Amino acid sequence: MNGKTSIDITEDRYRILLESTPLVPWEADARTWLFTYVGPQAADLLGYPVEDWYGDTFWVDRIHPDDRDAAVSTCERLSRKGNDYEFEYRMIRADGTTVWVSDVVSVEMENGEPATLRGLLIDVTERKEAEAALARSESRFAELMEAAPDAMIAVREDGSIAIANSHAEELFGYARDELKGLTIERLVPERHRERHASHRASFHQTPAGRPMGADLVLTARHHNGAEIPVEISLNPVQTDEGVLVFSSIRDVSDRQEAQDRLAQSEQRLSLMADSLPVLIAYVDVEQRYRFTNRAYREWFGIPLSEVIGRTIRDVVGDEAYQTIGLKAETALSGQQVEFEAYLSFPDGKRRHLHTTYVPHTNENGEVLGFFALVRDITEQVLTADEARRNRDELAHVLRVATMGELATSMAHELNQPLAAIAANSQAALRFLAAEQPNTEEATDALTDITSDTKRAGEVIRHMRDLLIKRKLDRELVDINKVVSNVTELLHSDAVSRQVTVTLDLADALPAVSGDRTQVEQVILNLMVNSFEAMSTSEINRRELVIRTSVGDAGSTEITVSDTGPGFHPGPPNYIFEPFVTTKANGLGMGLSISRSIINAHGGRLEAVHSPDGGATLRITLPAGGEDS
Amino acid sequence: MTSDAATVFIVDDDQSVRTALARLMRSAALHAETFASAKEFLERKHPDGPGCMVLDLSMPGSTGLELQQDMAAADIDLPIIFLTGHGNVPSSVKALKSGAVDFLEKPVDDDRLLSAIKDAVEQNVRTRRDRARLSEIQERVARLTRRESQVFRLVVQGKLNKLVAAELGMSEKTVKVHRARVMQKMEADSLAELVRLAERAGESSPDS
Repeated sequence: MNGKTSIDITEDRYRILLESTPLVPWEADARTWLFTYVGPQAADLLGYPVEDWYGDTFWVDRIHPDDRDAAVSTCERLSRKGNDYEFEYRMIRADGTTVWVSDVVSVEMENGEPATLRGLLIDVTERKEAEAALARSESRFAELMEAAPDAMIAVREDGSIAIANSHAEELFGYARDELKGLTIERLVPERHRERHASHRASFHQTPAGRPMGADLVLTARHHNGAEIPVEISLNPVQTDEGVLVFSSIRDVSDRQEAQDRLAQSEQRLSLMADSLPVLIAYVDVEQRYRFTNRAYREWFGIPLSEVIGRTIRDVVGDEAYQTIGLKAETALSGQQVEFEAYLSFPDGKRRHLHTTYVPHTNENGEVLGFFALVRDITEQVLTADEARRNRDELAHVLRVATMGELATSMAHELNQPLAAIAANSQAALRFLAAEQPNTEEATDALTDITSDTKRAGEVIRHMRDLLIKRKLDRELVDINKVVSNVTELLHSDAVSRQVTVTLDLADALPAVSGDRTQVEQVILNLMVNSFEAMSTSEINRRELVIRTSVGDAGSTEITVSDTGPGFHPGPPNYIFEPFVTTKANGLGMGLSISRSIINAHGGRLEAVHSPDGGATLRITLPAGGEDS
Repeated sequence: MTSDAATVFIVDDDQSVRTALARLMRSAALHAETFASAKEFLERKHPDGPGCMVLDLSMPGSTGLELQQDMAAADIDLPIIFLTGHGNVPSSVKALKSGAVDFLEKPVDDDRLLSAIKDAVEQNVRTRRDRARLSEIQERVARLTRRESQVFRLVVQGKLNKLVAAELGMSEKTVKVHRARVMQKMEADSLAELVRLAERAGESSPDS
């Protein structure tokens, strides 16, 4: 909109157009510096009548004294060059107030000298004041920003950086002047720039504060291209210049590294825990799961995504929790707990669990939670139960195995009344045979004899009750199984005595009708006898062979052969007589009782001389096991 | 002292055995005292006369061997006849080795028991007499003065008065005086008897 337009308009219309704008058009003689024309708006600009403008030195005098020299010299210097130019300065109005003007000047040259100057004076006071205010506020922001502990940058809506603090200089590797005006995307790695710009645009549409952290670690780009993990908080602030977004940027490299390391080691631990066959969990003070290994989740049938944060009670169910809850409380009181329990779970399964709770405490001794180590020992318990049942069944077998000792003490019990009877009867005979018979003493002696005889009878009855069962509990007995059971029972005994036990069991052995426990007693007794007999044999010649076979008339034969010293010369069967023993502490009852048991089964127990010197005992049990 | 005044100490935990054995002792005109345990025997006051002990070896509590040791410690000198139940061969052997005078199995034959008791009591009477005699001789020796006992030791070695005098640096006459005092104090009628007494008292060794 100036006078050089080619639009066909009249001089008047041109002037009207010119003079209706708030700009003050002017023309001056470049040599005299006198205005040759000043637009009527000039009166409004400074508050002087337009005529005054034509006076000598009016323009120079009205310039603010601080700007006067600079304005005049700029004008002179630039006019001489002949190009259009623009400069700003202050002028003093008639009322003494200051007006900021921008002077846009066009120069007309004649013979290489400026001849005429034409221009527009524009009131820019408002803009200048806004700029000053901004400068003031910027310096206030800058002060605040310097005091902040983090790098801070204020960003304009267009993405250019308005202010930055010295932490930002350090963090990003730019000088502050370089940062100012830089677009913020330069501080973002290239791959994120586009996304960042669009985020920024949408943020400006609905600006809202965002606190530090907010679960987000972002990546910043250093001047040298290095990437830095940062946390950023955003605060939009309404300023004269528009919305400035202040962002605090915290370098979290150290923390990130530590977190990475932790995450790595956690991952390793969790991998390890997952590969262990033990159920492992970590539970916090609220009894909520914070960690479970794979075995734990699989055992309870809970996916990983569902277990963390759930309570123990929720997972194990109310019934099991009645037991577990108390233990968990103990663990949370700081005590290690170990327990075995047979527990029922919501899915109906009942299991034996061996559980250890190890409290986790911090350095102040406060309990933060506990580790749970759980083993499902159901199988072991069942196996142990079965073994115990077998043991119970053989318990009275063992009682009989120790009957030698029992009988020794029985013999003492029996010996006392016998000793008294003997002494009394002898005393009575003496008193009666004396020259003057003492019948009183003799009577006393005989009375005592009577009571001691009764006593001896009781001892004998008691002994018989203990040693021999009155009745056979008949069933079909698998002799091979009986032999295997007893061998197993004596396994550790055989090992400690360094005896090799060999079983030679017939395949198709008919079942025998008999009292399984009593047959076991006999075999156990024979084996123990052999063990003891071989204790004097050389260690590499302690062999026991148990052989089963089908004998005459479908009978079953069991032979127990050892490599001990064998029997004394003479008929071997004398060993079955009661009280015959070769053992220093033996009573000689074992074989005698064994034989009565076998006889009660209608069978035979015999001693056979082995050709190679050891002892062999042969049991023959009839087919069908009829009573003898 | 004879075996008539002897006491048989019966130690057995079985009341009826104790009573029967004591009755058997009476039928043989022997005095008997009964105890239920070795402990009771050691604790209860009992006659210090000659005798013997009949001890049940298979008693619970203190073993026969321990009792023997305890008796030795308490300076009780009684021979012990052990009674045992059936088959206690190893302990019987041990008991005999450690000084039991006899070892009998229950039920015991009266003749064997009574003769064992008779032997044991006689042995005890003998030992006691020997011990009493020895202590009497030792008392006499203790009455000798230093000079007299020097003379006593040399004289019983068969040294003549002259030699004794030379050895002890005294006159022969003085030796004679001492020698007479020794004979008197030791109640010896002859040199031969003095020598015998010295042997019994263990004073005959030239070195002692």
